[in-house]
Amino acid sequence: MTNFWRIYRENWVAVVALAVVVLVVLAAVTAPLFAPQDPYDLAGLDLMDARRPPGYEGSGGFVHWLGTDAQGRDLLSAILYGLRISLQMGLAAGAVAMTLGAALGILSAHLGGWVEAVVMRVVDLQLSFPAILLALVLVAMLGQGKTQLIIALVAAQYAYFARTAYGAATAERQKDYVEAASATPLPGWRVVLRHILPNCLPPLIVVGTVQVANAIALEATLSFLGLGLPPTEPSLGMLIANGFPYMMSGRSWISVYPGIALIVLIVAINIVGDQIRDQFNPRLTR
Amino acid sequence: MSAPDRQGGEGSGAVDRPIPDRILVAEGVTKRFDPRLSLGDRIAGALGAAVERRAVQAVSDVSLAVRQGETLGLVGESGCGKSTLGKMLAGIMAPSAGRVLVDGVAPMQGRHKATTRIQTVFQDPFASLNPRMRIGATIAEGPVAHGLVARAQAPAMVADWLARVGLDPAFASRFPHQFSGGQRQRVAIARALAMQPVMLVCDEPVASLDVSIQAQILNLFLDLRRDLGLTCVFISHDLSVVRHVSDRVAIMYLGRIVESGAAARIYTAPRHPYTQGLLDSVPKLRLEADDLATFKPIAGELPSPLSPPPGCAFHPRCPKATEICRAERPLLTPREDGALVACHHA
Amino acid sequence: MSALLEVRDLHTHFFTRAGVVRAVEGVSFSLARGEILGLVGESGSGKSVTGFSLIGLVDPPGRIVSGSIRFDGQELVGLPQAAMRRLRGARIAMVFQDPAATLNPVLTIGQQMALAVRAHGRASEAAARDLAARTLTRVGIPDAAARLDAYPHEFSGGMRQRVAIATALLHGPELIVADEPTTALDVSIQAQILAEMKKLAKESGTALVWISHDLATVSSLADRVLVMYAGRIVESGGVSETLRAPRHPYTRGLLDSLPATARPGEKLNQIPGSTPSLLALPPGCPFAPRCPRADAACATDPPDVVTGGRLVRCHHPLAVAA
Repeated sequence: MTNFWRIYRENWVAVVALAVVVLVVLAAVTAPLFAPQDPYDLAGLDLMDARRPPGYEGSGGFVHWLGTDAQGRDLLSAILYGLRISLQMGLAAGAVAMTLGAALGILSAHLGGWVEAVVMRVVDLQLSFPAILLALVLVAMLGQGKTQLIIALVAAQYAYFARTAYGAATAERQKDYVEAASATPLPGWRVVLRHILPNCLPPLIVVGTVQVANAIALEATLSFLGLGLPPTEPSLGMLIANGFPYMMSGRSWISVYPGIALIVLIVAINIVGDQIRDQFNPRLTR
Repeated sequence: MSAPDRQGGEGSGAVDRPIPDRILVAEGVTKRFDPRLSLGDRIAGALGAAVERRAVQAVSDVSLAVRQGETLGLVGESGCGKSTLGKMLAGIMAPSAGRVLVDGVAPMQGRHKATTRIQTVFQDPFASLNPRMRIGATIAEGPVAHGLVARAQAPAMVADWLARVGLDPAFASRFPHQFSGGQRQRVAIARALAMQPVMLVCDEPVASLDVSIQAQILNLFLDLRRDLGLTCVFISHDLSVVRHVSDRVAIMYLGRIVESGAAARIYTAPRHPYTQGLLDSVPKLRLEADDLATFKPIAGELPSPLSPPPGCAFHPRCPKATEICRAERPLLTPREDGALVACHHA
Repeated sequence: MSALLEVRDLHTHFFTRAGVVRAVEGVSFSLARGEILGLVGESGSGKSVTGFSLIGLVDPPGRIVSGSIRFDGQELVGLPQAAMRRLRGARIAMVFQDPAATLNPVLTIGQQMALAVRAHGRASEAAARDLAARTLTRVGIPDAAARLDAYPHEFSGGMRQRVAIATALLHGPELIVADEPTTALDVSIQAQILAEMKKLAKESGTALVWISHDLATVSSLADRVLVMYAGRIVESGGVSETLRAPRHPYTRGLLDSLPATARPGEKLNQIPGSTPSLLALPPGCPFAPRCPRADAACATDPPDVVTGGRLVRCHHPLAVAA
């Protein structure tokens, strides 16, 4: 692990990206402690403060550093709270999709036969059309809400994990150490859990990192389209959507700042994921 | 559940001298690999199309027996089926036909291995140890899972085995990547022996090791075999290694045993032309300046196992081949000195 | 007799994350035309890196740090890539362990050999094919003209290695560097190739550097042998004298490690320990920690002891037995 960090440190871009991710996560977690305003507290909002540009000192007696939105919400606070929602959704969906996908992929590889044929055909089918399509249909069917949204995101993303896990497990189970375990003999579940699974984790972690970013983006897209979370729990996507009507009227900050926050977070996560992938790739390590 | 009607012999129907204490018996063992058909091919086949199906027969009708305390060397070039045969003997792979009995019991039940009595040492110690498991856990896993040792006693057992294979018992908490190839192979040997097998199948255990390390592992093997009274099948392409460790040797060519017998006899008086050619092909250590190295290589190439030659598989490369060799496959038959040879002319 | 190849105090190091790996540390030797030199050692001994240094194919993070390689009077260390490429393939050729890696799978044997012919001189399509066919015949490929249109995958491993050797021979090189060329092959095929190589070297006067871990192969092929350990030459000399009566304890240990030199079933006289990490070599003789003859003196660099064309780098060389 110390070795991992020593190599990671050599890429300063990745270090900056990691710092951004950590900072954003920390800011999101601790938002209630220092955000100037609770954006969900409708009583605290004043329509007089609506659509004010960055730097405006509002009726609450504090400066709106990023301006306010159409309801007079402080944008900085809204973004911080929006990040909470986005990260929650992304991590929850990523974790569930990874568990489900890894289980399906590894079991398919281990059991073979019709399980493998059915599961992997479904996965291939799903990978052959855009994930957002499935998510849209599911959200439309299930309705709004955090659980529904997570189900939709998981359904859209588990296939990537299943594919990755299946590929890794197929490669691992042909290696001698798995044959040695089966030749001892050890029970099948033990071979899967103690031997195949731990060796499939590196590629899954890489895909997981990137898929958390994708889940955040997907959730933002759904929310932007009005299909995500209810307006009482605005995520970044909804903030962008809220500001959209004012884009052309010179009040672009309402959409732009949440958009920047979203891009920075997604890009940072992707850079971290790339670096982890490079370090797990044995061909690149000397 | 041994087969009382057949004396422990080897070869198709051939009878060796009776062996009461044989640990391993293989009778008519055959392994055919059918190519896996794709879904499309299967549908086409179901609809009546002619789907090409070229099965490879990796091992054909091999019978052999290994006595208590004996080491049988299995020699051959790549593709001769020695590793496949080893896997069937070790209960890793089910034979397509014929049967294997270890201590009177088939080592496999269906697709799964069902005995701990026979254990395997694999060729590549860099691949045969789980890279994410501490070697202590690797060694203890099997014995604990099978109740051969209580979980509480496992660390002591691991320490004992590490010491016996010449490693520091403190290494138990290390991961495989912290070891050299020779040390890893010691761990792999300890893992196999900790299962208290009656028999060991070693598949090219020193082939991927450097010369000086190979000597260390061979010495370790000789020591352990003597101390534990191990019975072994030792598979290798290296004739000098096999000679060094084996009591008896079986030479394989294209899935069949072409000659077997006492190691000393095979190396000094080979009878099958292939055995002779193989021994002549091995470069000898040339120590005299005037002792000009002469190679008498076997002519030609190994035939493809997809389309083995008719008759004797060796006849296209054999200097002694005649008409009968092209037409009729020679059976492995016993000779007066106890050897078994499959040749019309030997 | 002027040497074709003259290597002086060659140092090739690899600058890795973990530190500097001194893969080749002060190697010197010379090679006459038509001579076969066996370069013997275990993995990590630097024998392959020495070979790659000769043909200018040391890839970063490795490079030749110092020393000189003179080929027919021309200095190769520091030679521009373009000049090195002209030399390589024409006057210096190489053969690698894995022929699959040298052959292009999507070109026929004839196409890639013709490319190799034309890379170093003008030749018509027909002339190039003709030369390719004749060279393939020389390395023992029957019916060569017909097999020019085959793809590499249609050849067996042994045949592919013959093609690789034939490609190396196309321009009648003066020097061939062969790195474990028969290690991946079966014994019966290895014997065929050894026989061909020996004949070729004698007939064409090509000098050959044969890199191998296998003492028996080297003993039956080479005129002289260099034994390497931890990046250094520990012993060199005529192949039969050296292997009959080695003077360095490591060479002795290597020979004793061969099962063929012992009586079946008897314990081999093994070398204890394992090869040292090149990252953290102690000063003095690198073999000292494994050596039965080592004493306090071995903490300093061992001297070169030269007697009658033989060299041994050791404080306590073994006596030349009768």
